[in-house]
Amino acid sequence: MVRADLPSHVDPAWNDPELERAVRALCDGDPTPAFDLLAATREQPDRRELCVTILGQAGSAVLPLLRAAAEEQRDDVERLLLWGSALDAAAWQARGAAFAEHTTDEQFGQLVDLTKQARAVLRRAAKLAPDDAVPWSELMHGALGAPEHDDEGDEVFAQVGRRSPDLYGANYTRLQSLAAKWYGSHETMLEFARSRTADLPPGHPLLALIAVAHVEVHIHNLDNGNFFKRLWKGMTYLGKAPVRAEVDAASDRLLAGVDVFGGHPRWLAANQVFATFYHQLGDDMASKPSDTMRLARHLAYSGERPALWPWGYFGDHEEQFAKARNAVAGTGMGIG
Amino acid sequence: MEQTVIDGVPVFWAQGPAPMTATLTFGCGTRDETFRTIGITHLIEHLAMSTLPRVHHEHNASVGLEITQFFATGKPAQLVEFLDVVCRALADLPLDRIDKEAGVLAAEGGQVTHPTAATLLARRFGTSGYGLAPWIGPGYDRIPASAVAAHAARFFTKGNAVLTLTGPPPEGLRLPLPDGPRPFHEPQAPLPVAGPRWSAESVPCPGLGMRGPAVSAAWSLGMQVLQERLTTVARREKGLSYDVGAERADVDPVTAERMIWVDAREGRETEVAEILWDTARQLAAFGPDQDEIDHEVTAFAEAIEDPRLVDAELDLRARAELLGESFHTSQEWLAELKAVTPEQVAAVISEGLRTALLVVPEGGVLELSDRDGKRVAVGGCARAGAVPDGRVFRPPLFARMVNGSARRASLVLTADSVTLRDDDGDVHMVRFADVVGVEVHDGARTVFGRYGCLVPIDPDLFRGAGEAVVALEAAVDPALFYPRTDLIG
Ligand SMILES: [Zn+2]
Repeated sequence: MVRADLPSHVDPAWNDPELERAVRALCDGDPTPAFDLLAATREQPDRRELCVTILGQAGSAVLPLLRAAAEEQRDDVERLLLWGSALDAAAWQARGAAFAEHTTDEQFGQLVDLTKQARAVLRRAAKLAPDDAVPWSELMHGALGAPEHDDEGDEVFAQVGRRSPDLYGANYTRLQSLAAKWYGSHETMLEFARSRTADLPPGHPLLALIAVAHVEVHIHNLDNGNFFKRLWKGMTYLGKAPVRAEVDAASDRLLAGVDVFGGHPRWLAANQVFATFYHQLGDDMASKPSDTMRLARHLAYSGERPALWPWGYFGDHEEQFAKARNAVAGTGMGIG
Repeated sequence: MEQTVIDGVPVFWAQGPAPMTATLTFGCGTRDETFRTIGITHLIEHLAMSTLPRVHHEHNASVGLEITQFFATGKPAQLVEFLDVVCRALADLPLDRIDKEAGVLAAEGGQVTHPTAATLLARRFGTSGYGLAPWIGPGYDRIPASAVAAHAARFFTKGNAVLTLTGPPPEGLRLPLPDGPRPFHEPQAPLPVAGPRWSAESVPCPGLGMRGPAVSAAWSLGMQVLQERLTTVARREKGLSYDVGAERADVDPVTAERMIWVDAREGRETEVAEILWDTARQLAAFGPDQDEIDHEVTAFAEAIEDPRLVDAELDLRARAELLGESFHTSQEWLAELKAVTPEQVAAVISEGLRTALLVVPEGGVLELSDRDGKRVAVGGCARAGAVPDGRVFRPPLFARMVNGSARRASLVLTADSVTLRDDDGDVHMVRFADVVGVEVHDGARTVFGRYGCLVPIDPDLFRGAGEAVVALEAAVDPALFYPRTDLIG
């Protein structure tokens, strides 16, 4: 039986039946499965991080419910985590709406104010569970969008590093914060991606940082400069030999570890990042048939549901995902 | 605490340090005035005090939101004399001194509460009762002598008075007040506003108002902690703010309005308002720490060891008698404070924030969310959604040509209302039935409405608006019209 799609504000690029149930229950106004699931992930930081983020996205639509639940048991870490994550998701939605509508600063004010609320809740969770990396990982979002002070991002990421340095979401957000569009530069961002992935075992989803970083540079090229510059850079960056070589190498390393990491909560998402890269590379002047092969291999591990990002950089994420799948259909390198 | 009755007036006394203080309290405050009679209580108080001879002992009087007090400290015989003179004056006010006292009062310019708290009350209740607090009204010189006499006869009577003493009643004490029943204070409903609201107002600093239970140790303690936390921020962030203040209005025996304000350095008002909001919200989310509670309990326990506190306790007893508020002795209240838990504080502040009003000085813009992540909407005077259909008056053509504000503004007259569309595009409508006062100044009329709006009907501003003046005069009670005061501006 095909189930209804998840709400559009919930990223669906994962495959975890328990999380699926909890998300759907939460959307229907029942947070209990979510709390139970989170309580069961205390020893699984990667899964816990994914669940907190995804349930937070779902929870942004039922904030009064999560507030009431947190008030019922004020020292319950799971309730605080979910409430904080949901406030955080609401903050980013307010920001997204501001971008979309080209409104005044008004909704940026909402981002700042909702982030304040999220920060207070998540810090309390962090205090109550001093060994838990996930509150800190969630705090990365606020530190990115509406930092309390200049060093908040560094401090919070250092806290993650002390507990679970390889969390996918935290590192992904860290990379974003180093990008030129936030407070950094291409160089620092790429340097971070390289150093962070240097010692990873084959198959580790964090290898996607390399592809993300180059996609970020690509996006920056598409958004900046005059028309011809944008067009030219857009058609030539991803296919540059050093870029391709670096991403191909990361892709090889990821694919080599499917046996070990195929069940990692972020396995699908990481493969979708590479798939986005190779799908975009298809538009590059230097695209090659082997790129389509790589696209097919990553899509084969991407599941059925597209992530909002980075597909969403290039249009509607579902459309982009469908296009990518069409591009490999009939090549004999089909999916699944 | 001892209790007796003298000349039909309840008397409460308890032994305090000498010299003795006598306080004559009446259940009458500024909330019992109307827009047309703003200041009448203060005028009565001044008229009564003006009859006192120059004396050596200390005496004074005060007018609050709910009560008026005459008090003196001195030897028993001096107190007997003081009370006798005040009571006789109240029974037979020297109305011929109104002009003189009106001038004194206008120069004094006293306010019943902090202007930020006053504005919060006005936004809660509209231009009536408690909500009159920030308004000047027609002016002391425009209060009719007949209204002064009637107000005194209704409120300054035996039935509405309590005497408290910090020692046994002195020999020969008399309270020759006029007879009269205890007046009923009509319960004041807040304006129907859903959810928290913010507005930019002519206030000196940001403030927050909340509604809640009249008697709640958790809420009292929570407000103390909130004040404490804000003071800490003010101290830490040098140059951001200097001072924090709080006030409460006991609206009826079960409801209180609590207001807190934070001074802000010029240019930092919005920031301070955001801090105020966020600090209250955090307290609502997590409650105070246990040591914050302990700190407040200890501070209260120390305060009530001061023997001078007897007087404050007697004040509360007088209020309870006159206003139907419940009375706790200091020891009882201490016990209640000790029993407060962080959860209770969080719950009561959380409930209060649902009805929160947040004000920021003119020009400030607040982008805030409530505890459920919902945007805090704009409040302020009761602006209408649309300009009603009616006769439209515009500024003169020349003004419209040279002035953008004039191009946007208009006045609209309908059968039962007059509406100003201001230069921001905001629509301020006052129904004739909701008019609380009309200031007359040459050909112009300024109409004050029950819901906080005012509409200038000025033929110099709006061509042909004389027609609206005629309509207004036909529709509104003539007693509400008054000529502009001679005392100010
Ligand atoms: Zn108005």
